[in-house]
Amino acid sequence: MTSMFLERGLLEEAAVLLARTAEVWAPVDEPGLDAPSFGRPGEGLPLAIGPRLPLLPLKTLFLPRVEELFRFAGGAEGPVVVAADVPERERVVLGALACDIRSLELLDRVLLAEPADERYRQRRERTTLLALACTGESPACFCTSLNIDPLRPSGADGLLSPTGEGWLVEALTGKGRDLFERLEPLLRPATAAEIEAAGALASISRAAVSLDPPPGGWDRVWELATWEETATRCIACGICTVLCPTCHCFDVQDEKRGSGGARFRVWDTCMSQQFTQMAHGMNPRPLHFSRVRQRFLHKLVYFAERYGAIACVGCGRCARRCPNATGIDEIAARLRADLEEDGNA
Amino acid sequence: MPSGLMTPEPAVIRAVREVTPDTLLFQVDVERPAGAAPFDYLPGQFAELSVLGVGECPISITSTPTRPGLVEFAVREAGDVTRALHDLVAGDRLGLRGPLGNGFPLPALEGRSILFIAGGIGLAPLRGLINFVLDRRERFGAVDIVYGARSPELLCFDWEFETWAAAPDTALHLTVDAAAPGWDGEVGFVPAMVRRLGLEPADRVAVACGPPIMIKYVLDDLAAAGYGSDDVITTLELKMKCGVGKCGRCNIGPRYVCLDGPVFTLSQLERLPREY
Amino acid sequence: MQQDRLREIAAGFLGRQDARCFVGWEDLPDGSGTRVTVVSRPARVSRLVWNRSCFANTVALLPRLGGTKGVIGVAVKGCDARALRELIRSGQVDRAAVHVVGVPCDGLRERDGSLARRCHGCRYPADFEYDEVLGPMVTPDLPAHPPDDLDLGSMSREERRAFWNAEFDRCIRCEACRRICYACFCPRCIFESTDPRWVSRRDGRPEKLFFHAVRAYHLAGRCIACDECARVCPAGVRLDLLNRALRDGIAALFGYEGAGVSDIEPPLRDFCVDDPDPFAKGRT
Repeated sequence: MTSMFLERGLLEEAAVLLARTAEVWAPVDEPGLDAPSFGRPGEGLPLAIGPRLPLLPLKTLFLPRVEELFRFAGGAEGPVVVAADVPERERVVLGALACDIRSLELLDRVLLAEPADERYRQRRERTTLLALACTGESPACFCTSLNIDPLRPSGADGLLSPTGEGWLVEALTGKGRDLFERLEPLLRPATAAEIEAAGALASISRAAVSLDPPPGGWDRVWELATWEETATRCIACGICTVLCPTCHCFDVQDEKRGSGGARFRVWDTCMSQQFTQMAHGMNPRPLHFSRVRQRFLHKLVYFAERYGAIACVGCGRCARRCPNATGIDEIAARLRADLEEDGNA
Repeated sequence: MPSGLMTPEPAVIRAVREVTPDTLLFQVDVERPAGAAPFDYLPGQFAELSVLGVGECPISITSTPTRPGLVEFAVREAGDVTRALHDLVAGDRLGLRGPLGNGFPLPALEGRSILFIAGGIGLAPLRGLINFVLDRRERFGAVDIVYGARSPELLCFDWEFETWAAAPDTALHLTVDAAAPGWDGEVGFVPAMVRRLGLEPADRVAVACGPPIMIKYVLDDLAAAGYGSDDVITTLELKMKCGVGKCGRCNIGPRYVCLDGPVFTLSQLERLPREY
Repeated sequence: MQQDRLREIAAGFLGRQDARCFVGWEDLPDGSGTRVTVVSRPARVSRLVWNRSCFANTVALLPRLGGTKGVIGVAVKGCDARALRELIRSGQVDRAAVHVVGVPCDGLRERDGSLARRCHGCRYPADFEYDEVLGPMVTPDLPAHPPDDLDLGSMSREERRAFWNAEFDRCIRCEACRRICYACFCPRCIFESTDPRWVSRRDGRPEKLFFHAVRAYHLAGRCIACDECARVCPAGVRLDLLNRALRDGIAALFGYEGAGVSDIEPPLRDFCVDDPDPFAKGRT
């Protein structure tokens, strides 16, 4: 099969062509932000397709930060639910990175489990993911430690591999093939040199980070000193939970407007004291350190036990944005060190 | 009418009855369109009750499916949603999502004797099961109900007591924490009464629900008396939002209390972190 | 070297009977900067560093450490000392329960070597009563205005509105600004209240403005212009400008130099019959 090529100068046109039949999303540069964000090409912000991690992860497009669930209106016998379901639109994400794409597969295990979240399911089905082969943004990246191939992410429908003055393009699924068919007028066959260069791409992602349990397992991890130490520095700001591609916890709130209103869901953080606080006063995690412990045990242990994989994609957002620069990789290393020390004591 | 696991259906309150000074019983008619599946539930399941504009909260179903018709919920006033529920009267509508949760493991209880242990409002989730068992009396062994509250006026569902005590091979043991004028029954904490009764494990299953401190002592006492962890059942209460295992709030260990519970055996709880 | 001296002092302090821990800074694992650290054992003082990238305010940690027994050692820059003065004045920290080690600072540096924005015009209190110092605590002579700073005062009202709308549009309501701020020490912040819920978590401009404006007013008079709020904001919102604007406003209204700099009670926490009252002009 001939490998096809998209020239760098034709990227904007490609986005326009795709926009004829689908809503196109891509990383764009927004003034004031030091990282790209997902936006709509053609709305004035420059495309930022490259090995640069968007601030908010791809989950934003599938489980929006704030989402109205339904509306209600005042009726003769009290408020009544009125809003109808709106089917999801066809969408294309241009330039998604491997870590973000893997996070969707992890979120699928929660949100598509019976009973499935219908809106999320439709969004997943009706979105075509065009990945960018990623050479890594910085040494903070460690996706390769989690069996993620940044240069050829599973879960992508199509792949753009940067080479020469553009990208080698490859369809990886039927959806990807359909998408490239639409782009055909803008594609040309790749040269041998371009194909070779694409094959020689390498990622700077750290491959030696381990989030795995130590040989003895995580059994004795409940009472470790690391929790208190981390909790002392952790300010419970929740930035990690907002920016983590695999965090999905949400709150549900009602809002009254006159005699009607709406119910919506909004991202929430397990770091908040309110997260498990019950109205009559009980709180299974009343202490800050117990919430810190829950966050990491959930990601490293509980999620893995229930869904078969650690809830982390090695993007490094937590370590980079934490006011104390403490990421999950550091926590896992310290837990293992604690356990080994205890074992040798 | 939008579908969706987060959208409540309307239910009409047919009657409201006081259970204790801070708890009301709502008898609710789940209005479903003709031809739609009826509201089928198991004892031990719960529903998310909505007051549109205020919010939603999880409340155990306290009626039994052996008596079709109205579905009953006992709501204790604690926060903004339960406060708003308490303002509703017969004829008003509320929103309902359910039934949710796993319910009691009925097959595991068949042919067994059952020791019900409840404290305060903890009787609400157990009441549905008690009435289920008494409605299908021949399928179960001896029934003992140990129930206590802080004071006589905080004993819930007192109108059931006579019926329960009079049922075949069924004993009701009531107690209040402290002596009170007009009360000539037992005085003492529920765990102490359980110990005093000294009911042997034998073919018995214990089902307990109540304040955490009571549960803690009861579970310890039952273990000491030789009850196996698979033969002790309880139902947990945790803050919930979606009720269907998506929002992450009721997560304990690898479980979601809304999906894998709220009913758990002691052996299942023993494998979970001690956070409840 | 000052860093070695700091480690010596910390080790000595931790050897005391009543010492609980020592709060200072440590290098980030990737060496790109520093972060706050808490050392509990003398053997671990080698983690402590002191250099021009020690941005974090060690004092902000003190109310969170809680506890009533023992003494906590803390390394304090001149600017951090302002926060400490305010926390002591507000009854959040007991002076007798902290051992304050002053570290002389001639201005923090960004990664590119330039003087940190917040260090311009440094006026930190050299007159704080430190328990120990690494060297003479002298107010450094640093230039007054950062070259690229926005001048809100010169903007029209419409320009200011457009500016803040653009800033808050980027806000993701993580509330890290609130969490990092030394002055936000309320154990139950109103923004955590669910009954009543004072502000919705909706994404709209009204909600975000409400959150930021209310927080800024709660801080007014107590802000020490440390710019930590802007530093931790993942969306780059210029909260430093917002809080400074209120700080400057209070300085102008009440002749107050700023929290922790002057030795008078912050005006919004004090009452004086002669208080200027321009907003009530024309009313009885």
